[in-house]
Amino acid sequence: MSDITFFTTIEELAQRTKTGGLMSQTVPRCHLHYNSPGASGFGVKRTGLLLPEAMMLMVSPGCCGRHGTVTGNETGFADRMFYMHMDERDLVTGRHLSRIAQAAKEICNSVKPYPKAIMICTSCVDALLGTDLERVCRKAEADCGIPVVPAYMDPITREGKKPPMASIQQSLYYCLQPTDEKDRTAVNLLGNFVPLDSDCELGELLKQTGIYKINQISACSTFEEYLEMNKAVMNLVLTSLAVPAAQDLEKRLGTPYRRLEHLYDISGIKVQYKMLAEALGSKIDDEFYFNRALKATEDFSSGHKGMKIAVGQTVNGNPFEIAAALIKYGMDVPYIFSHIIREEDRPYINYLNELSPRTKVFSSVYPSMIKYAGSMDGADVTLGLDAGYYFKDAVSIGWSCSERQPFGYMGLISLLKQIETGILNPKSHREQMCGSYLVI
Amino acid sequence: MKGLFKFLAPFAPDYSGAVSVLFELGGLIVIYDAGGCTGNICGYDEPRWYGSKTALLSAGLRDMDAIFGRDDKLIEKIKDAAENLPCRFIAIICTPAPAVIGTDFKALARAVHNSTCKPVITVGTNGMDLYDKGQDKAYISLFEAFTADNAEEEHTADIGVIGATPLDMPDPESGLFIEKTLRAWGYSAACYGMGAGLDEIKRAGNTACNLVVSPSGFKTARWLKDRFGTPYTAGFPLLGSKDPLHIKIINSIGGNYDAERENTSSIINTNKRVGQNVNLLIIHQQVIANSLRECLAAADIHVNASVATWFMLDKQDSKTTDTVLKEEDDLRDIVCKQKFDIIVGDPLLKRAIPKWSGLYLDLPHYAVSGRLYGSTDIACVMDRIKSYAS
Repeated sequence: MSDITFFTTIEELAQRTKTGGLMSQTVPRCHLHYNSPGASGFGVKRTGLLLPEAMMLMVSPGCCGRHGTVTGNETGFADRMFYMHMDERDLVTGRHLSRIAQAAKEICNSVKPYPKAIMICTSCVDALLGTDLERVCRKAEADCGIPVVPAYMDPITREGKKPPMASIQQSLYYCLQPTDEKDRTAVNLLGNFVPLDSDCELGELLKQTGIYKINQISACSTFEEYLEMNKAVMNLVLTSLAVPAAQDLEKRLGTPYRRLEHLYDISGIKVQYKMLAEALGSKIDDEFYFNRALKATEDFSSGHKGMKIAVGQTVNGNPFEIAAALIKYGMDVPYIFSHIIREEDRPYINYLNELSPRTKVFSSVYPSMIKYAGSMDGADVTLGLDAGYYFKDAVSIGWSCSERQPFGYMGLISLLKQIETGILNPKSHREQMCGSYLVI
Repeated sequence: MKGLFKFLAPFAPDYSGAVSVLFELGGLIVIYDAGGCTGNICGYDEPRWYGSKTALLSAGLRDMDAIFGRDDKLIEKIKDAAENLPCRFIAIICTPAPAVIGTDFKALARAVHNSTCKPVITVGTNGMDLYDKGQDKAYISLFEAFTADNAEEEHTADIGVIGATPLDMPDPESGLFIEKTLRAWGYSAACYGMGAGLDEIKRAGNTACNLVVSPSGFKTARWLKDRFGTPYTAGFPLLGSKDPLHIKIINSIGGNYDAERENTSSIINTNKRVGQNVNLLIIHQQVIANSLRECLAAADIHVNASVATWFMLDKQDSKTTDTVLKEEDDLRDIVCKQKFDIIVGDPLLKRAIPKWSGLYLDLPHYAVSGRLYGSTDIACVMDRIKSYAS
């Protein structure tokens, strides 16, 4: 029996992604999954409730809503969550579907004010039963008189074409209707769970192109404000999980989209802004922010050159891209944690192969990771609560997508500041986990 | 509407209960799910998870695996994990997804055993029942599989404690508290699954008496009585070494269960001056609720106490006024009809009875509210009841 937990190196990964045939330990469908306490995210229910003034009805076996019991109370969405529990007869007969409209109506009549929309969320069970949830929602919509939005919390489709965190993004924009009244000064930002950091330069730079408004669902306080998102002239997509949603909006509303990578490599940020400006038919002068970020990286590098940073997959960005950027700034990244190697990771893996081929990559869900709980060493700082779980003596920095949404040059500066702050005022990993309210 | 919960969020499901029983026993626990169920257990229902090296893993079931019935893949995955992680047995815990596809768990267990040469138990949970049913199934599977007929008597504890898990107990350290209390009374104790491990379960047939601390332990306690003649009693020592449970244990070891109950009633003081017109409802798991009721009586606080529970209610251990709650409306109905002055229950349950205006005393139940509330000082709850009733 092996006593060493499985890992690979960037060098080996780069080779295997070229030739095909990843090791089975790096392919989640090939092994049992370890559920590290640090591996957490925003969750389908909490994401769905970004839809302002909407309620959510979870139609599932009772167990599926269990995490909502705790996180709903911790994050304040408990008053907007309702549950219709299925029993064994429902599994066999599907009769629960005929009760959904009545349940939705009862919920709408019991809350004040009357909700603006209601999301019906089903689970793996209905995915396996092949439920036509859209049809069920149409019936409920006729009864309730408000939009009824289908949503799917089905991890059984996680490595499929549209995993649950991608399909919920699509559900979020379900209520937007086509319009001829386009606002040439507005764009939407899709894929973020919390509003962009207030100091992010994206808004200022876009003004140079004639865009004065960035709509974000997480910043909408009313349903009416959210509905105005249909007027945006373009959708900027911050994460690959929101691409299906953007494609759907392009098809239904005619709104084109542009993928934005969440980058920490200063050169990459510059190129991205240039390309964004071209897509908008304009130019962007980002020298002020570029120079600010450059200085920040130089100052950080001079103070912390060679610092060892372990990067986890729950960071706000691509762990391989962040690792490459940190190495470029003079850090050492001996460890990366990622439970899956995606197509979009490959360019960064190839780049990392030039910078640090010996960096170890751990498959964070592979069972043998259990052996490493709190016992790894060799890192001064960890980025991502999943990485932090393994290094009890390192400075743990969450940098998750639920705390804040950094982007661009200011995002890079914020990351470096966060690392500095973490070093000066370290917080225990456990304390950060308890305060994160993240679905695990 | 039946099945609709507008105020109460879900309680811990049966598979969480099953895991809570098996967690400390050194097995490889495989949750046959896609990942969400395991996430619920690890993140919300198992406070021991952080820092643990327990081999608790998800099967990572995917839609195509379910549709094509790829059990062979699961067997391979389990074999791989069993080869990489030390484990004394393998437990396969069921969830809604395999229930939908009608997985044959007995056949799966046989196949996994043949592949790994490890003992395998399955727990037929489905995610639709509550945690206590999962515990009940896990306990009986465990004891049936491992309790030896002729285990050596050396190192056997005097009292086996069945039903103690973090989901049921007032405090994460309750296992130690029970052992400490029993030790103060002169007994060694094995708190199965919360301190005592698989070796103690193997020797469970040799104990002098079993103590059931939650309803999920009754079936196993009765099985041990039938198989080994071990008497049992039920109760939780809420007041530590001063708890009236001591009498029940003495009588249990000395006699049978019915005789022990007669003696219990004789310890209740007939002085009914304090609290006789006060109606109290205790909402918790039955054994702790009963124990609180008995402690109040033993302390001369003679309120009219009824027990309501969302979970199993053992008829032998209940009164006629005790009730099982199924739907959200059930709680509202009994509170309205029976005009309780005081309700003792998990703080989250208050949401279901917003119009009730009596005294609500918080008694957190981990299976209801998880980590939201801390432990409760039972003595403080009793003092408040006494103060109200005086």
